[in-house]
Amino acid sequence: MKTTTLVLGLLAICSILSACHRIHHPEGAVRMNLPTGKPLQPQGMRALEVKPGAEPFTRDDVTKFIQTHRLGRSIGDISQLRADSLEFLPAREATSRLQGASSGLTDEHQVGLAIIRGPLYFTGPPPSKPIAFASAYALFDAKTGNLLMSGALDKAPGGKTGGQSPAGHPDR
Amino acid sequence: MQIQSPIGARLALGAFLLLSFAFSEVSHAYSCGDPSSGHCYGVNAWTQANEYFGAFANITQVAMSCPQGCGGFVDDEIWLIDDSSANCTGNQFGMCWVEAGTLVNEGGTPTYFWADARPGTGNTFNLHYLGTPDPPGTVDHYMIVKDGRVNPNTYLVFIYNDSQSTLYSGTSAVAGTGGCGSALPQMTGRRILIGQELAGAPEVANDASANTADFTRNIWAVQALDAGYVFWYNAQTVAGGVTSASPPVGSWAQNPGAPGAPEGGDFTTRCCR
Repeated sequence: MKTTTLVLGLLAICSILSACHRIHHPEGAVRMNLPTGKPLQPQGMRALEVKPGAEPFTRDDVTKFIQTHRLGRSIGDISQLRADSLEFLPAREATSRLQGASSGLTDEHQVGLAIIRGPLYFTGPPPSKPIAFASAYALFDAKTGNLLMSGALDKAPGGKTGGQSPAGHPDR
Repeated sequence: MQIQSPIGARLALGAFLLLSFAFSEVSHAYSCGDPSSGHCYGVNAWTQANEYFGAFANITQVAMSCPQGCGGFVDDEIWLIDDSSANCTGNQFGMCWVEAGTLVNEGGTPTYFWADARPGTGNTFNLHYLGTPDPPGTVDHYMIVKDGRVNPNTYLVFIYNDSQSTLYSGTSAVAGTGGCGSALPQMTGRRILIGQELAGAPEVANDASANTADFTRNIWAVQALDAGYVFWYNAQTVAGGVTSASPPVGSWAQNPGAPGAPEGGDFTTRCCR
């Protein structure tokens, strides 16, 4: 009995020491817990009307939207923007096309990925200046038509390009 | 009134041109960016040689708008920036960053957002629209933290309120982790910004607006997340470098470390008149 108690006691101490070893408490730092609740699924921003049928919205719908609503954090003339393509695919596939940039939706959730012909101008934090991009993308929730993500793709001619474009073709 | 002489006609024309110029100048609310010039900022910046493993601030939700014709956007947000690592200075922006805040675009309604500009030159910049913000007056928490539990490291982004009835999260992964090639090294944060960004050059009738927002509990992570899943932090103890383009206006209501000041001080922003 005494031996069993001793072994169990030693095991408990080892377990505590092991846990303490894993969790590093930096000297002089203050502890703050991270949120632990279940995150909400991104709803996005209201954008397109969804129609019944196989195709909830069209490439023309996207073009109309981007010509009247500015994509996040972009500047410049939006009246000439157009959607070159619109493809409906699972969120998992969109994440792969966007090189790991995830919408936060479940893998099988259907989204609409639109490739937009610019130019569009995006700017970083100060002291950066606007950078011209020849193309950009917009990702919509196929169920709600809401805009989930947007971003830059190929830099305008004269700039650098690289990687694989979300349309599945090598960058020009 | 009749103008008799050529000199009088020239004077009248000059006066007309002067008035036209003056009128056109005052008709614009502000000039904060076109395709060739930068945006305007009301921000505070901290920089250090050692790595900032994360950034956090409490930001008050405020009424903000950017109607059709505002030509850009206005936001309140925090940034974690790397503008020195080779894999970041080599991307399309010449820097990497992760940012989180509340944004309103031209013709839109306010939304929580987070965005990143990653190492590499593919889809470098990605902006995520999350959902409608809490009502004005709510204090929301904005957190960016490096995740050391995965390799290559990612950055986790959280936007939440006290009750966690609002809780959004996101993951900033380096390009290549989606299955296209090998991953680039992750950014190393060395600069933290808090404050407001304004873009556009609208006429007065279409200018953006944002009520006074408070940025408190300005703290930074001293290590990456590990198995303990704790944001170990130090508070900012001094004011950093303030930029206030007026608009937007950014200033310290209470300096970090001042007697009676909240943890990390109280930085305020407002826009646009």
